[in-house]
Amino acid sequence: MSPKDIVHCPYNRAHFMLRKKLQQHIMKCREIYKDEVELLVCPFNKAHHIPAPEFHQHTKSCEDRKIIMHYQYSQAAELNEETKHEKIESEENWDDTSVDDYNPQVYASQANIVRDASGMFPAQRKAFIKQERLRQLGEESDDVKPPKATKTHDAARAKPYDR
Amino acid sequence: MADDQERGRRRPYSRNSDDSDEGRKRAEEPSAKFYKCHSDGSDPSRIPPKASSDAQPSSSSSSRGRSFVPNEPRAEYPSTSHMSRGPPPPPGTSGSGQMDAPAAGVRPTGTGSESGGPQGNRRQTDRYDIVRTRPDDVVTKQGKDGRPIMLKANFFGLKTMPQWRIVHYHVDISPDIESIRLRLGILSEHAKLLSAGYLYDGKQLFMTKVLESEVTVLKGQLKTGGDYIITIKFVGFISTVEPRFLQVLNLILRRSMKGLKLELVGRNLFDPMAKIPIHQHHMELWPGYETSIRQHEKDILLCAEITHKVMRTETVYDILRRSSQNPSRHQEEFRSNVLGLVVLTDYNNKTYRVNDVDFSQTPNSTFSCKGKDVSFVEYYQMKYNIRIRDHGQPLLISKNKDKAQKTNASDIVVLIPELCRVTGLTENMRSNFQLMRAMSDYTRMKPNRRIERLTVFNHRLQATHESVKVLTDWNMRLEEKLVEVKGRIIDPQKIVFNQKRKCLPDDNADWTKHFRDHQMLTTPSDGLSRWVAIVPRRNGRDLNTLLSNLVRAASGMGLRIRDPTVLEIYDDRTASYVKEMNSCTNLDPKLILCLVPNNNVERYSSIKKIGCIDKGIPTQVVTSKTVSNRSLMSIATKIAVQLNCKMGYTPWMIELPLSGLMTLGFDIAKSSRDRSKAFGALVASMDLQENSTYFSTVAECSAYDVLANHLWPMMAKALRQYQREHKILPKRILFYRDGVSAGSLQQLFEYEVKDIVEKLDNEYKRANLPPPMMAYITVSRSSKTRFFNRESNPPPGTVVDDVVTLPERYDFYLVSQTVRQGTVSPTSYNVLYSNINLTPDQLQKLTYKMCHLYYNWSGTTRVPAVCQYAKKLATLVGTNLHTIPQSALEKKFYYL
Repeated sequence: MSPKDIVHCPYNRAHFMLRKKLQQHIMKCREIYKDEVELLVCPFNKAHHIPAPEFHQHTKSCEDRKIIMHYQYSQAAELNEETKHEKIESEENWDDTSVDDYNPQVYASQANIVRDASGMFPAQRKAFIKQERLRQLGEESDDVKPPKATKTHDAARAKPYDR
Repeated sequence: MADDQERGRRRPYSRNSDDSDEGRKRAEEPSAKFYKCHSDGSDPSRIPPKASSDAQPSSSSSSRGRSFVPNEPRAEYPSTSHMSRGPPPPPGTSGSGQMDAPAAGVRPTGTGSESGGPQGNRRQTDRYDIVRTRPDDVVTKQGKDGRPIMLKANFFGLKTMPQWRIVHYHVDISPDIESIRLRLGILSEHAKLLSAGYLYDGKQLFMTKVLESEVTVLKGQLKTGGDYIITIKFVGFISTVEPRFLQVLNLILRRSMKGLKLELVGRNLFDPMAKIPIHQHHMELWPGYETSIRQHEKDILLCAEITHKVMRTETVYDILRRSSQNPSRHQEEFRSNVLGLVVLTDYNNKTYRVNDVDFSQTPNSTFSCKGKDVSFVEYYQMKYNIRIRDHGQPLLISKNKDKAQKTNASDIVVLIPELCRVTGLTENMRSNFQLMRAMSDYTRMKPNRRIERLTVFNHRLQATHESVKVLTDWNMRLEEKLVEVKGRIIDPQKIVFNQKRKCLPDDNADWTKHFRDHQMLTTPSDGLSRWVAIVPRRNGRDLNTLLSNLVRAASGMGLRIRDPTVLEIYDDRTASYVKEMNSCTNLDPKLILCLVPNNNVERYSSIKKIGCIDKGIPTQVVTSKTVSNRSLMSIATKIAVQLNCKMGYTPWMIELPLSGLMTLGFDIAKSSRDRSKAFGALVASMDLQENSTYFSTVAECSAYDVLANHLWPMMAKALRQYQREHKILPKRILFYRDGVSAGSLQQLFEYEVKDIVEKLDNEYKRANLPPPMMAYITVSRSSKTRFFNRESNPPPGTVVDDVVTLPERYDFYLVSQTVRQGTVSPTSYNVLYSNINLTPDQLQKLTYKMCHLYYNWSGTTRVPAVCQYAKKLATLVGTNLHTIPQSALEKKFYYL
């Protein structure tokens, strides 16, 4: 394994990881450090997060700048009027359709279903699950304490359960 | 996303959706211990993150919009929540008064109303048994159009499932025991104390019973001597409404499937007893089952799919023996045959990539294990009870990638060739037609066969004693019959040819025969003139045959093909083609046709490179074998269509009922030359009503990134082009995103969709336009879902948007293609973001229409044409060109 494959997180030099993990790592660190570290995102590559002082220099030297440069400096395709054809009439016309788009969250938030909690921070997830219990099972089910927990806690430790 | 990041530290439940024991066993790294005896191999936090992310197929259903519309709908019924465990009050009753309409102004659906009663039973307490009909004006994701059809899907319902809360414990054993099998054994000695059918994966314990105290301490003695202490700590209850509940259900199912004597290979369970040997090719097919229980539209369903695993009976040792025949080159040959292979070791069911061969060592060499020097022979005898037969074989070296980041980078694994089974198919095997056919006889199952196999699986599961016991212990019962689901068949779409002549495809959604009496929609007015054909002298006659057929076929379709300038070359070397291509530029040809003797990749690449990168001229390569084909006329028809496309004209179109629409497709393909690179291609339709042309652009990206970093620059180019042609930006944008796995939907939304929406808004603001209406749809071909129309495949145009879809998505399945053999696999579409203001019916129909526009095939394709084009273009650049093609070609289908 070449050392090139290990990269550092732009938000915290102490974070290092395999190159393939960088993308999702940055997404998280950008969220966590949003108040502390402010980095600008390169217009050519969303994976480049650059401190403000270096930003100008980066935009000039970014290797992905070629995407735009290639576009700007090469000759664009000529417009060919010949490819035009008579308008194809359709039996239907949806141009004036304007209905609200379906939002699955509305259904999910009301149905008797197990909702997915991935993609949340741990605290958010806990709160989310708690809320889901409250919503679907009612309040009384929300006790997470084991029975007799407080009472037997010390006793259990003093006297181990014997087989 | 947070889940992934946290995985290393927080163990609790991210792993256990995979089967417990094996999941852990994989983490145990035998060979890592060779160099560092206190290997951290089985430290749970060191499990390669990949394993755990694989283990969570169900984590994919990330919600769209959850973070986009922050804490939107949860707290909607503060006052009613305690009583309403049934469906909440319908809009219009008191409940809806407090409802905040979410950002998009969507009205809530009358949930559960049309679902009827049965699935409601699974919550234990009473619920309001109110029959409601859904008001018409409520927004749903179910369409209404089309001919209804009853289908079966490869799903089973759950008759009953655990109704109580599951108790979750954490088990610590001290002194620490690494082996999971041993841990399981130790706990099983105390089985009496635990409830029947407890689930233990080596760390976590799930039970139905609550232990008396929060912390239970057990004592015992190891058979090998020495005391141990088990500490069972209470963690929490798992209620029936949280994702962990589904993971436990999956665990239960896995456990009960073990009763069928299945073996875990990779992630799925396979049946070695039912293996199908294919002796002449040294391989076996193991039939197996891919199962997952997850929350579907209304019910929790079990998805079961029959898969096959190709197991090669060959070991690396066999390869060694084969290459020994030439003693002088033996080492070199073995090395070149073995390097890069992925091998499977049966004893721990793990796969490794072979990075090197160490000829200086043999299995008799020793390494330090637990402070002692042990030879490999002794180690395998001791640990796995495996006797190594040949003590003279060299050793294989594998560098373990995932671990390298945590420890130092020199962490390597040593393997014994004799114990390493070769996996996967080699390029050679893949091109072996007979082998592939022998395999497909078994792997491509007709729908009726598949139904039968699924039913048998279900029956076995409910009849085998051990399996039933696990299921009954947890009060779980499966439905015997496959789930039925109502689908709809979208009407056949009209294909538009020249002079507004329209025709309908046949029942297989194919319109090849209509080329006989219809002309292509647009063709160049002066035909194909000023073009060049390069041909080796000895294939001169082939060229004449081809040309005469081409001219005949093309004239029937309205394309006049003039005689080309024929350039003869004296041999078929690549350099000769290159020289002629370079010298013919002074003729300024519109197209170059190369007749080649065979499909040599290097020559093909060179021709394409000169055409696409240096000259910006479309090229057409034809092999002489095609010319001698008996059905040359139909091939000539296809080539004529291709030639027309390569010049930028359109063979046919569909009726598009929307104006100002731009459809985009995006896909990524890895570079064949540089593993760290990939190419992303974006193809956009410019106008499908009056000027049916397409724009394409390619960008180089990193192979490590799943999400596209360059999406906006590429999309901006497409928008510029649209603006250039129409003097205005598109009103509606339909984006089909292919090449992304279902697991990263959440990230996809955060990373790509939000960014695009934001930048589009800015772009349109600058142009003084209202923001565009856009839908961002992910396209997935790899869904495990199958539909059966009685005993056959559903016809093309079948849409399913209920029951087996996912509740937290705006998704649908569409069968757009026809297959000749086996079972059709529907394409899954997920509308990740939409403000396009179309009904689900229209969106489904539009998607189906888009599947008619792939000009290499006069029939429907599996995915929308723009995606198919993007894939084709990305593959061409990734495997042949390796550089970005010239912009001058961007309006032509040079990549077809």
